[in-house]
Amino acid sequence: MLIQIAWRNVWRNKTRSLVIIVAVILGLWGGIFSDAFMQGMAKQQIYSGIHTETGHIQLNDPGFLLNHDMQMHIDHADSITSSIKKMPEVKAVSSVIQLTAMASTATSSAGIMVNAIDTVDQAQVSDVSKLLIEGDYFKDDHNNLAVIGQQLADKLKLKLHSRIVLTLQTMTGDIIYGAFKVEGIYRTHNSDFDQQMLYIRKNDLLSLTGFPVGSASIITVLLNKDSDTKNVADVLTKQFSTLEVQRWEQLSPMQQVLSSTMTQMTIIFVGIILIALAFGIINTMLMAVMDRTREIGMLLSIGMQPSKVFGMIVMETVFLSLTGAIMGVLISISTIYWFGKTGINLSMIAEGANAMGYSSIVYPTLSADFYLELAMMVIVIAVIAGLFPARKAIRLKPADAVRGD
Amino acid sequence: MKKLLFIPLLSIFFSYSTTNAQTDATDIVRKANELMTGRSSESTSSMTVVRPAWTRNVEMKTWSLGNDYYMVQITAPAQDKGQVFLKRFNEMWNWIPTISRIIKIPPSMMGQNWMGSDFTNNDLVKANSIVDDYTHKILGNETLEGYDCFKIELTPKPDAAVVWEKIITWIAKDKYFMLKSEFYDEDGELVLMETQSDIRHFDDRDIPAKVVMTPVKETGKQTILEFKQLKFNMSLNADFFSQQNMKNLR
Amino acid sequence: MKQLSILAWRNLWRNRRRTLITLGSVLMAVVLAIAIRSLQKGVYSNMIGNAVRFSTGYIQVHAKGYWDDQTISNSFMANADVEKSILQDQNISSYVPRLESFALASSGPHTKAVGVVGIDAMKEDKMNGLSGKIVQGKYFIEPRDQGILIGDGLAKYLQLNLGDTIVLLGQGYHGSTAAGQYPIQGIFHYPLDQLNNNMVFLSLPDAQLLFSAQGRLTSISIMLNQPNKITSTKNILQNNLDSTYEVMEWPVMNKALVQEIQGDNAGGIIMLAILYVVVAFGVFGTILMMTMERKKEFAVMIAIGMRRFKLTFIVVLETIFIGWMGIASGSLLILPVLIYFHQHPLLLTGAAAEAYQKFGIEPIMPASLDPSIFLYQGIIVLCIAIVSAFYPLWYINRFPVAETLKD
Repeated sequence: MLIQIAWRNVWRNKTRSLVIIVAVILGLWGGIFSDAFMQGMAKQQIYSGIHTETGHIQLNDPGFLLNHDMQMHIDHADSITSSIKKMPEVKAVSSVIQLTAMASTATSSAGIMVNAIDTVDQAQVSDVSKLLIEGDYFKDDHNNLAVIGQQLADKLKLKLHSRIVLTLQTMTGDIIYGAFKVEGIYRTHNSDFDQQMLYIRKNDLLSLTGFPVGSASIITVLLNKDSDTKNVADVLTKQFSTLEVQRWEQLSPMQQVLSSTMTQMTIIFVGIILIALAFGIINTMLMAVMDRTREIGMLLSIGMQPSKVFGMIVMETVFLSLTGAIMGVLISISTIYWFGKTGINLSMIAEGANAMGYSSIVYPTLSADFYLELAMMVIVIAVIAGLFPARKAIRLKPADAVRGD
Repeated sequence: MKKLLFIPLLSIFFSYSTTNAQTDATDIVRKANELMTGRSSESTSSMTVVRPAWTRNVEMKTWSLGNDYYMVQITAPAQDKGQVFLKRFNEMWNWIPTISRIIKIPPSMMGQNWMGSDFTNNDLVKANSIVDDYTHKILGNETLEGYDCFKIELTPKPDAAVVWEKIITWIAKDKYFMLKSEFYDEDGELVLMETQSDIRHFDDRDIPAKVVMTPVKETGKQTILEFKQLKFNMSLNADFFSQQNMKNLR
Repeated sequence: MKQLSILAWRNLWRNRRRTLITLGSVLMAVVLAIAIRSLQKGVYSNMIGNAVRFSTGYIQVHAKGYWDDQTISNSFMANADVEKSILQDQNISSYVPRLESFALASSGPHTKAVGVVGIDAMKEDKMNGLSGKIVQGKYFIEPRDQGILIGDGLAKYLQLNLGDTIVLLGQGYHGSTAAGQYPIQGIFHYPLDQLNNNMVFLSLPDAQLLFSAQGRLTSISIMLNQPNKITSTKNILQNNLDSTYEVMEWPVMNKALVQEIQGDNAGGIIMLAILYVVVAFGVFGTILMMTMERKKEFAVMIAIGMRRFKLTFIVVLETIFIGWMGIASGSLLILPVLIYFHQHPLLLTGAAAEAYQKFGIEPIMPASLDPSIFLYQGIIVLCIAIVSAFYPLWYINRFPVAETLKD
């Protein structure tokens, strides 16, 4: 009975109800979408860190990272690589020989890090192969090709097919020179990385330096799921006790600072948006009740119990917010789905963000339980927001109310 | 076949075949290179580094054996006196008497200027490459400073670890003085110019006593090397170029 | 005009409750927009402040040409004039003179290229708390301390302990040889491997002696009291110094940080936009309801002969009044809150706090009091309010008077 009256009341004044429903929809959408956006942004930063720089897990000789000493290499890296590849959680594995070197051209020189790679394996582990702004990624069969970052290219004034001379150390400590040709130029979101990291084929380096065949400096592991990182790292630590096994968080601590800041900011921002939503709903509801003073006064004066009036108004609020919540969730799902596909290009909003490369595109994403949680929260807020006006309504003196303002 | 046009202008040393013409160009460069080094050599020289805001003079003694052994002792200024640089093949060490240490120069420091000059450590270590790392081609004849010169183009061999796109050098006929060399980058722009002048008689031969390096694109910079004494083909052997001997040089 | 304004003003207070509700929605909009932006900006300035503290400072004075060619030969003579110009400026909170170059660090068979920084121990410690990073041994006590401070990564690589001797070899001023040996007096640890593995500190006089650069500096890094006045401080300083000096702002020197913040800020702007959508509808909703409620009132006004355009004008004025009052009261309301959170910043917790502390950054989220925040957010909210007033305008100009009166 009460439910029916409430339901009818909702549709009696369509404009008013619509305003409230839209307020709920927008509030819910704002909460969900901003959360999804922030998560997308955090995820994307972590993703680009993992997929261009570190991988999920790295293995190396315990002393290696101190000075990239080539003597501290992983023996039998090839067999280790193929055994890690067999683990079900593992998506790809690549072994890299990493050496400090000097790159020179006719006009200048720079200290760099040479990464000698198996081109196919490395392309599966790192997205650098997809981030080329010019040229190709080891497509040509020629010897001594190099793929370099844009920052280094600018610094040394290198162009595609330019000649670059690398000064390296051999295993016996002699200095050796190698001439390479720039085959591709990449750009990641990290300009320091682009200045440091130069890629060449493993075979070219082996013949120059006499680095033992089958060995490597670093083994990079990419997993199917981020969440497996710790488990797999633990397994690898046990299995290869002579090696240092590090997770991506350990390899790039700055990343962790960024993503944890992001999480905290998300909580605060979503909180602020929820406050905004609550206020929007309370305001519209208050207006609605004022609008209905006469009507409520009438109901009270013809003898309707105040508790019933209270219940009716709360019920109305529940209907309104339920409708709004359902539609809000639907709209949120579809906008997140849409932007999750197309991405939001931040470079259009902030000038200079396009300098970050592909990572300026954010793909909003949210797990299902978040929808539910937020929807519940919004309904609770809406109902609480509805209680204020309802309380206000039953406190009206029927006589005054009927007389109007 | 254009190449052949130049050949008749050259003397009887050159045959009419292209391969031979190339070999002969290589021969000229080799001879020019050998003129300056000999089998072994010992020299006293001074180096002046000219910068827009300052100049600096370094005096030194140098010993060399072929292209693979090289030792430099700094004799002035007082501050750097007694320092020794040793090169054996591709490696380089530095003895610093003030702290009594020998330090091996790592690859990452090879691009550093040597003693603040326009030479890098690399230039010293890799001095031999103009013969072996390039293919040589005679472009023609030109007269320079009163000498009849071959104008020769040096193009790096495909796998040679050389930064230049090409070098054009003027070598005096018969005398083999490398009077002028121009170093070009990949855009075909002139980056570095080396001139040799002031022909003097040292020991058994005439050679240019003054070498000037000019980084063309940087105004006001120059490095001038002047030989004061020079002896060739003395009895030096590889043992002389040892870390032990760095400390004992007088 | 004046009459209409008075009429509009009176209208507002005729139905106080209604006005207060609308005012409340505008107030809340401005409060939230300012709060969110202030927090965003506060976090960035905290990040910037901490980042520049260890590197370039907010602004840096160096010899002209040094930035493009960072060699010791592009250093400058430290003189009293420069220091005087710096001390004169009220906005400058601290400054550190440095002589920076690089050298080979060597011990036995191990050799590594490192950055060498000659520092004024007291000033450096005041600016970035370097002494707190020492994990073994001790920080420089006297200005002429003879020892060297090295990172624990470098110590490990060179297999050196406290008290051992490290040899530095490099190139000094005007191409002279720089060679020296120093006892390790302290070992520091930063969470960034780059610093741990590649950096050593000497006292300024020692570094000057090593590089034959007596009395010379490569840079003076400066911290500011009010970082938002950076450009004017820089200009004043540049004017006071002659043209052999160059004064640079951190964004020119630290492009990576600028990029990072711009990227992050783009995300912040999206969040802000979402907030605007939500609050804009809050404002619009209340104004819409208000209009509906006043349907009869409007009809009566028009029926007794008020021109529709005059009525429109009054409603616009009412909205502007409400907008202004909302913004003014909102700003006043949030200001003490921001001042509080500026002085007692929100603390980060958990993993984030740990990560911050590892980097020597205070784990806080301070509020920014940058006046431009109030200005911009005020303007935006006012725009929202005015746009929201379009509905009543449109409504006034089309609704049928007779029918409404009959209702």
